[in-house]
Amino acid sequence: MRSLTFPYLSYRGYKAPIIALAIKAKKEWRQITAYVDSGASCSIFKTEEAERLNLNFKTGKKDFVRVGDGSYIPIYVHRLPVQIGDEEFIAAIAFSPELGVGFNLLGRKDIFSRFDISFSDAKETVTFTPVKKS
Amino acid sequence: MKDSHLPKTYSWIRKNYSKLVNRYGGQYVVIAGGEVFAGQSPQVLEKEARAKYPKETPFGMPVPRPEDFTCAL
Repeated sequence: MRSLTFPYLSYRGYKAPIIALAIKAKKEWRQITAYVDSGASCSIFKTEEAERLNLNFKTGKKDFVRVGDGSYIPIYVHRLPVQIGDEEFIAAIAFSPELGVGFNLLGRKDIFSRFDISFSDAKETVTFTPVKKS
Repeated sequence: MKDSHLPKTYSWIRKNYSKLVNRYGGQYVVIAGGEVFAGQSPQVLEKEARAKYPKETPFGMPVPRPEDFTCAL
């Protein structure tokens, strides 16, 4: 169990904690990127990711989440194998056709309970340390 | 910092991130072999990348627009 540190990605002085991970659907792994969002209660990805995974996102459990402007957007929740570093596990991954930001968002559910996640704006890194299972 | 422990294509994305945002912001792209595949459906992009770089594992990503980087709550 080792930690994995990702450098922030940078655009014109803005730093973004965007990491690499893999998701499996229909027996195929796909490498993707996601913005680590400690303020998001669950992970919400763009529907293009579902298309690339050959997954009909609407077959997921429909729910609604409240976003920053106070409105609600629909999400379709799937439970999918996820790999971050050496760790492989099942996580709730939602897809939304109304996700209004240009990133996949990696939120807390099933992710922040599996890793200690440390943001360092000073070092411009985000570090994932697997939590020891008792 | 050294990032040799990270996937090779992720390191490429890191080095070329500003160019990606400036050129492909708002689009979904697939990247393999240092080449960006864009302008079609994600499944088609994946197939094209795998066909051209069969030994590589392509990366897919929605490329944010410049305005996506402004401060957020």
